[in-house]
Formats: sequence, C-alpha cells, structure tokens
Amino acid sequence: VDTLLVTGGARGIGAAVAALAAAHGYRVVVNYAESEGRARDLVSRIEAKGGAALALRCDVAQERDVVAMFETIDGACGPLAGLVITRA
Amino acid sequence: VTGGGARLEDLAAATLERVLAVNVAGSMLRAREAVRRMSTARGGSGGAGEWVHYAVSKGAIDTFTRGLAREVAREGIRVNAVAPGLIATDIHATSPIPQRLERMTERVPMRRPGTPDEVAEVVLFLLSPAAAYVTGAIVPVGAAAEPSRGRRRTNRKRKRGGRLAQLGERHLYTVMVGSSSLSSPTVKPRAGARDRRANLSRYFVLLFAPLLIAFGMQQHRGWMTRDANANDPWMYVASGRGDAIAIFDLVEAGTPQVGEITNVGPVPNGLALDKRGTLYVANWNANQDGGNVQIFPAGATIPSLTLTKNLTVPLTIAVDAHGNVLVVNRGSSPGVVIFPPGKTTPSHVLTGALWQSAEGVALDPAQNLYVADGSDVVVVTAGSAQPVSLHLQGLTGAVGITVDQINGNLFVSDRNVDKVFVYAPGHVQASYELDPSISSCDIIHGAKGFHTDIFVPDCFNGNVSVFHHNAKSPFEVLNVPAPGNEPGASQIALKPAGVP
Repeated sequence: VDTLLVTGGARGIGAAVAALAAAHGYRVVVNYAESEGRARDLVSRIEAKGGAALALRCDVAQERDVVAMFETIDGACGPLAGLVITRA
Repeated sequence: VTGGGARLEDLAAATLERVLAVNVAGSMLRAREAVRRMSTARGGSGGAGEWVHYAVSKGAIDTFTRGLAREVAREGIRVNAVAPGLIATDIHATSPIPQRLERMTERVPMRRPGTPDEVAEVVLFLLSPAAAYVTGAIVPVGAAAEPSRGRRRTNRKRKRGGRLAQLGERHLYTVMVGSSSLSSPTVKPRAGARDRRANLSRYFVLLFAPLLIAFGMQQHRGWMTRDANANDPWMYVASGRGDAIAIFDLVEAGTPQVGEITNVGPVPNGLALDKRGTLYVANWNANQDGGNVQIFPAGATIPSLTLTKNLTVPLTIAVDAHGNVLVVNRGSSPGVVIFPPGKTTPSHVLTGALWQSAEGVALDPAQNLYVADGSDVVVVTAGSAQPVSLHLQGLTGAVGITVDQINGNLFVSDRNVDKVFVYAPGHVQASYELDPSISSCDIIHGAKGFHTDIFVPDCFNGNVSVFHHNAKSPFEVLNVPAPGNEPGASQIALKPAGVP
C-alpha cells in the first residue's frame, strides 16, 4: 500500500484530496494543525469506507514538529509514495 | 541571493532563512515602498493592495515547483502544483468580505465556484502513474476565471499585478511529489536510487520550509545547522612526505592550525575520517618496503589498530558506510585491499590486469567505489568485487578523485596536465574543468557551510581551493601549510561539525 501524506488535510481541498486518495487505495496520513475534530471525522469516514488513514497533528511552522511528523510516518508507514501540500 | 547552489536536501535552515528573507521579504518590502510612492504620486486611493503579499509567495511557489521538479527528476520524484481558481470551501465563509464568493462568481465563465472534489481529482491524476511524464507543471483548475472588468477599465496600468493577485485571493497551491513507484515503471532508477528512496522523507521535510518562510512564519533553527556547542569542522592535512598530520579549523578566520598528530608513519599519505570521527591513515615510505594503515579513534593520538597485511604501497584510503576500510595499494600489482571493520586480515584484494596506477579513491552515496587509475577511472559497484573501467576520455595521469554526493559528478585531477576534470554520471567526456590555476594532487568532497563543496588541495603552493559543487572557480582559497616542511597538502580529510 502506498502511503500519501496530505498536509492541511483536515479541511477544504486537503480533506477532499485525502478522501479521494483513500478511495484510490492509498493509506493516507492526514496532517492537521488545529482542526483535530475535522481530522478525526475524516479518518472515521475513510475507515468506514474500508480505507486506511491516520491523523497526525503537526504545526508545520515548527521545524521540530515537521521532522517529528516525518519520523512518526517513517516508523508507522515506511517510505512515503507521495506528498500533497495544501495550505489554508 | 541563491544560497550557493545547494540542492534542496542539503539546504541548511539558516541559509534558507537568509535567501527567503532577501529574495521574498526583500522583494516585498521594495514593492511596498514602490507602491507607496506610486500611489502618492497619483494622489489616488490605489494603495498597496491586499494581495501583493500573496502574489509574491505565489511566484515563489511557481519557481519552487519548476526548480525542484528539474532538480529531482532523475531521482524518480515528480513535483507538480495545482492552482485552484474560485473554489467553494469554508475559507470563503470566514472571508472578511461577505458576499465575496457571489461577487467573484460573476467573473468565472462557468458562473459557479468549483468544488474541492474537482480539485482533488486533478491532484490524484498528477499523483497517479497516468501522469508519469508530468513534472514541473502548474495546473490551473479554475474555469478560466478572468479579471474584474470595472477595475481594468479604470486602472489599466496596474492590471497585470493587481488583477491576477486579486483573483488569486484564496488560490491554494498544492505541491505534489510522487516517488519512483508512482512514476513510469520503465524508467530505471539510477544507482543509489534505492538508498534515496529509503530516505525519501528527508526530501519532503524540506518542502515545507519555503512555503512556511514565504509566509513569514517563525522558522526554528537547529536542524541541519551548526550547533554553537558542537565541534567545528576540521580539516586534516598530510603532505605525503612529512611525518605528521596537521589539523586546521575551517570555521575560524584564517583557518588556524588547532592540532597535530605525530604518532604516524612511516609517512602519512592517504587520510579518511568516518562518521564517528575515527581517523584512518595510509602510511608508506618510498625508501622502504611495506606500508601500513593506522586507525585512530576520535580524539586519540595513538592508533588503536594497525593494518599491514597485503599492504605494500598503500597510497589512499576510504571507509564505506559499513565501516569497511578500503585501501588503494599500488605496489607491483595495483588494486584495492578491503578490510572488514575491526579486522586485520583483508576480506578482498582486488587486483588484476585492469589496474594501471591506482591512486585516489572515493565513494558515492550508494557506496560504489571509484579509483583514479592513470588514464581512466575504475569503479567497483557496491556489493560486487569486480572492478570495471569507466573509459573516461581525456585522462593521462588521473591521481585524485571525488564524487559530488549531490549530482554524482566525478571530479578527477590529472597530474600530467595539472587540471581537474568534471564528468557527469554516464558521460565519458568531461563536461567542464575547474579553474586552471589549481594544480591538484588530492581532491575531495567535504563539509564547509554546505556539505556539497569540493576541496582541491594544491601540493605545490600550500593552498586548498574550495568550490561550490557546480562552480568552475573557487569561492574560497584556504592557506594551509602542510606539516613536514612541505609546501602544500597532498591529501586531506574533513571532519564535519558534530563528529566527535
């Protein structure tokens, strides 16, 4: 399974990308900064449809957070197949 | 300001900060001042416009997407951006100007805002193998939106900057990276691609930074930057004739000598440092048979291990990522002698008719081994014990060699013509030569500022010239007298910052 990271994935276009990618068979990592509720809802919706998703909080303005997020993904999902950056 | 031509994965946070501060923030401040003056001159109410800030960062992302796409295209990574037009998201609900969405809809030929799903479809296409040959693209998903008619009439001169930025009020730029598994399966990744794949996330980490800094957010220092308390980069120098190794501080002005290792010999020639700071010295004396390799743990002045087996004329040395000690041994049958870590008996002795005058040695990130060998360069592919000639053209006395760890270019010095030739991967003709004033014995790749720089010691005048990895002329020349009353360094090794 290819892992896809979507930053800003909890809202708007990011959320749409995450949901569609999960439907296409990607394991989706939904990165959010503040929208924890939306991120969890999205993950639940993806899982309800049989998809694989993971919500990770990361303030992408904090370099340490970014590095930690990638390390978490390395450990949990292995190498990334793709990255989608959205900003809202 | 370009930051010295480092590739993205080598970009130090501090450099990025400076580049963006100067290029992006600097441009914006200049623009602000210009707009202020212009609007005063006009006496109108034009003002700076609320989207100048956006227009600058949009341009930055366009440039970033195209530049990064070119940079990593050969590594199986594609980079594309999507430029959504008027999209109905919750952002518009929180817009400071209510009814903005409705007002802007009038300017969209389709007369409706797009949906996030309509953008997502394009994103998924770009991620998919169907887009295997698409990179560096900026795809507008915007129903061919056009600028406001009213303003265009009244303010023609400003339409280019002002209108585009205005329509782009809430354009979301999406940068995508697909790894080689998503690109065309018929494209064979070059050597080292697998290693890079494993570390792919390292590339991605940096993707965030330009976007962030372009928006003026707080940038945290510390990652890939030099810690004030860490050990400074040091350069170890041997002359190939003296009886000591001198150590110079690369950070301090004037590159002062900070130490010396004297328990070496008979004559230190080749030097290598591993990532733990262990120093490896290949010793050989022209006046007596037999040589050795001494291994000094970090900070030690007395060797912990001495290797002698199969070493008749050990000239140069390298240590691979697994700790294997690779010694170029000339002698009557030139070749490479390989010692496993901690062992005094070699596991491989690579000799044969192929070798001419084996001397300089270098490893690329995929652990392929390159040896400068007279009129050619010999490569021993990682995991193989079979040396192969590269059939490089134009060499007669290849002596020093290094591999640009970033783009795989081979730097080869030729003692017969006193030139350093640069060969791109897969090319047998040199693509360029370094500054002809450099007569080099050794040549290495190393750490100073960026770890992409190329260090070329000149054994005749005591200078070490430092080149950015893609520059023909040095950006700095260090004067470092070699020990043992010799004019200049023959061999050098670098200890990067942070290594004990």
